[in-house]
Amino acid sequence: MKLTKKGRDYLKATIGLAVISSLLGVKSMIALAFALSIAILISYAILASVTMTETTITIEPKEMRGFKGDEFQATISMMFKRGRWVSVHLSSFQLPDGVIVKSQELSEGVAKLIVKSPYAGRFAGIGIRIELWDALGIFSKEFQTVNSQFVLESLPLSLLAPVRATKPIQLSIGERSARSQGTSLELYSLEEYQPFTETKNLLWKKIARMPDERLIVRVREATIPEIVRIGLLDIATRKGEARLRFADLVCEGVGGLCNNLIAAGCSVEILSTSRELGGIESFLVSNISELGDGLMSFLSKPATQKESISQTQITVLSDIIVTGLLELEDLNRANPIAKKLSLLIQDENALPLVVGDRSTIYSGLEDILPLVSKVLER
Amino acid sequence: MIKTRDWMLYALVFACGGTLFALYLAFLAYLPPVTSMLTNSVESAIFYTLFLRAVLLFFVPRFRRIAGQFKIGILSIESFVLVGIIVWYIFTADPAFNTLIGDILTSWIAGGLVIITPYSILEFMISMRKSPNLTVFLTSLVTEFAVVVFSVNIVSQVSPAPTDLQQLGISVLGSVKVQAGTGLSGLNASSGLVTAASLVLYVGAILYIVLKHGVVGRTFVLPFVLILIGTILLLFWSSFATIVGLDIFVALSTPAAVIPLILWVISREKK
Repeated sequence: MKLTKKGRDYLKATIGLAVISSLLGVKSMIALAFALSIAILISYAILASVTMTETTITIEPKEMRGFKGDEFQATISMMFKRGRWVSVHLSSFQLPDGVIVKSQELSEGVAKLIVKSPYAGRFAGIGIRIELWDALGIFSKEFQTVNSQFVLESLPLSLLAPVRATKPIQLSIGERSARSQGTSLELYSLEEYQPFTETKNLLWKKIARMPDERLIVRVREATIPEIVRIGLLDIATRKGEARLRFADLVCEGVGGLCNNLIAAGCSVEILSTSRELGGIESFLVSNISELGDGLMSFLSKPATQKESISQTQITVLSDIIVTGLLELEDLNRANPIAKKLSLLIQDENALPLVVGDRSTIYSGLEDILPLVSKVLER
Repeated sequence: MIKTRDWMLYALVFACGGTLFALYLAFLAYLPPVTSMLTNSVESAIFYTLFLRAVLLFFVPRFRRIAGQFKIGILSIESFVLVGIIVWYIFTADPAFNTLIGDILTSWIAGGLVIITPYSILEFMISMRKSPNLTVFLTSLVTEFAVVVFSVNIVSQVSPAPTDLQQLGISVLGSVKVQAGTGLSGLNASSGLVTAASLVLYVGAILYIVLKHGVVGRTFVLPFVLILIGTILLLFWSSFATIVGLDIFVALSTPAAVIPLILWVISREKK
């Protein structure tokens, strides 16, 4: 409980009035000083009795999901016991790093928040500072509360990027139809023979029934993997801006990979370490909506800083590893990753690294399509 | 466009200022016409220059802007002159200077009561409208009220009424010399004029505090109710004090001064 600027003036005025009117013997003004003192006392008692217990904080909506850079609106309202006797002001809001917030007090105890994030990622929790004033505005009291239900999910813009067709090479082997010509046993189409076409695919019986002398060949269908596994490894210590940037690039990179893989006809399984279960957590996604859920689920878990068996398993099981350059500074970790296709997130503090054609160092601008093509050609 | 609240504030300014002016006019009513009270050149010089200084300070923007302590200095030039004359008198021991000191002092005090009082009431009314400071309002209110009641009491007690400024000044000095509050005892709360003025100023002050200072974003009702509760408790307290034979106004001054002080100390500690 503290005095407001107005309250200091109010108390000085009351004391001054009481003293001067007592000295000068102005009786009606002594009475006024008395009445003001009682009013101050009652006002103080009411404010002192207001506590955070039985206080309801409502945030609508609690969870917001959209693409990064989009602005979202939420309304926060507070209901205090004895709230009618005091003035409630939502004085400030503290959101996680990476979220830009603008607030506007709509009415007493109700505020509109406009939030946006320049980073893709998941931002949870909101700190609210509430200021209570007594009816006369003499005393003020502050409460600080944290509401963990508030979540802002900012999806990567790579999910919106137009998909370019990736054509797997004909020798690719998979379980799912690639909807292009290849080397599987399945028939893709019948076409006219062209010079240098494989002669063993000529359909002689069909050619015999043809009214003209055209040569017809059987074209086989290509196949692609039914499921491509993307492993996310987030082991190195990153703080503040570096953490936000890393999460943003992971989302953009994974979003771009998945977008292209799903468009090519694959399902994608995202593998990450599970802190709760102590093993691997996986999300199977076959459309963009599920991809959003998977990414946000991964980001909702704090990074596991310690080396664990599950991380090694992820490296082994994944078709593409998505990790940061900082993670590769440990050679024991870097060697298995080097044998896999990988999307390496550019870390500002990482040492310069030369990578082979299996890896792409990603800073948000690089083309990830070659990586997609390579995983389809396995 | 003037809002309702502004109209109410203007009404309060005129009600409080008008009440103080009514008491000032009552004070003047006991005296003969002021110009006929100027019986010598010292009185005339002091009265007219004081009037001119007050007019300049109130109406000329350049003078209005100067700091309060300089304004007091301008209205109190006589006191600086008096110091010089006193020093001169110490060296020369000329009795003429002794008389001159008395003439200047009494004429200045009486002239000040006649001229500075309405000037300060007008300044009080302007500060009521403009000043954001409640301390200024309440301390000014009580001093203005005390001055006009003191003035009207003195002239009502002196019989026959003073015929010149010096006599008026002597009466004021005589009252102040005995005790600052003595002048207020003659025309006390039983006087209809003072009672009415007290009531208007009391209610006016409450409404002013609520309207201009007491609202925290919502309605005027709650602060008004709180002060009303204070007034009701005051009535109970005064009734109790009367029954047990206490001097109620002495008894009231103690809690009035102590309660805010305690609260202030407590809140500073917590901060």
